[in-house]
Amino acid sequence: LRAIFGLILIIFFVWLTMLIGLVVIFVSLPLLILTLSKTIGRFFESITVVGIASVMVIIWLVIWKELAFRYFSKMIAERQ
Amino acid sequence: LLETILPMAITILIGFIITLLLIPSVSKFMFKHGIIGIDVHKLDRPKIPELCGITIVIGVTVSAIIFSLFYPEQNIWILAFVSSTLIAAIVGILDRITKIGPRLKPVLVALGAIPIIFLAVYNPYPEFPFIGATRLTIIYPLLIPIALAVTANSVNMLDVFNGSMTGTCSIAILGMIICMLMMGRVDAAALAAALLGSLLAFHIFNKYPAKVFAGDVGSLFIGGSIGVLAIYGRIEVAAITAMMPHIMNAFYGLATVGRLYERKEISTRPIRVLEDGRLEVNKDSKAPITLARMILAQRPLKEFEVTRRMFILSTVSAILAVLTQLLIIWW
Repeated sequence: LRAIFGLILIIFFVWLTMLIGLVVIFVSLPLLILTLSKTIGRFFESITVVGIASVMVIIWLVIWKELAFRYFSKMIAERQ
Repeated sequence: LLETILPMAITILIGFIITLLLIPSVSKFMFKHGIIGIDVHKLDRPKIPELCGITIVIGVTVSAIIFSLFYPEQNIWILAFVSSTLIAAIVGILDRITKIGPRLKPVLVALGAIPIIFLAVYNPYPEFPFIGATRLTIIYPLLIPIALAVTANSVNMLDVFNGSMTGTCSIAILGMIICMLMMGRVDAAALAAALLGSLLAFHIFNKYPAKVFAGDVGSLFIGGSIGVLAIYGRIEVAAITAMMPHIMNAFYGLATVGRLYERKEISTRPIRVLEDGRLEVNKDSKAPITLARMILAQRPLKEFEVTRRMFILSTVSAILAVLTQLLIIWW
């Protein structure tokens, strides 16, 4: 049950950070668009915005991966 | 209430009965023609008929056509659903025949987005919790192929133990149906019910100890269907949440191996079978970290115990999916 509890916590954390991530992306994008379209034009603005959103998603994925891998290593270490 | 329950009851029953009736004859046919897989998580490594997921394809497709009688105004959507999911199923059959490889498979499954995009049946204004409706007219159609490839392949990658894929997907779809009903999307819920009915019938034969395997045709079709239903029901975020165990399993495996991979090409298997039949985690650092390996990290378990833990994780995800949809409605 402890193993399941740890995984449930990971799922809950992933869910929570996903919601926070979506809010951050959708709140920050309109501000970015307003600022960028004046200086670099719509085409480069779209590329920049998608790029920034992708980087943010990758950062969250790395956090999720590290969390799960550390949990796994800890479980194996405890057994040994 | 009758308008809500009747279409759902009919589609779930049709999906269930067709799949249930087809499985015995299809499994006999597959076994007779040598279309078999080895159940590697058993000591005696029994031969099990494969590609039986074709019964789910038939069950859901027939049910979807009958569904169109209830909702004739949704005929374009039914066409998009059937053609998109059939593309995923054909990729599954092709993979069995020609071994199309782990890199090409998601690309081919992503082609299932073509009918949805060209028939323009999607709604590019998805709703998010705390944000409300958004306007993604350019990005949304670009995300549809990615969504189909992710759902189909993540379901495929969790088809590792007897009943693991059918059980976890049934729970996820049940969560999605509740979300659709909360949004008043009775039509989408009825279509999802067809898939749930077929899955439940298949689960009877696929649960531990399995008598049939779905094969890639079944898992890619189910994953593709979940992706299409999320778009149709306009419950994109809730569907991602309900599919969290599948997506996490696929992502962790991908992150360990560093590329898309087939189970068969992994030299260091993540799980090994002990002499008493229990499953033990492989402590080799080269083995991919999967959901099953994380469940087994603490102690060896019997196969059905691992599957049961996956069901618990899916139930938690389905509850979180409903909570996500509630946040969208309340906001």
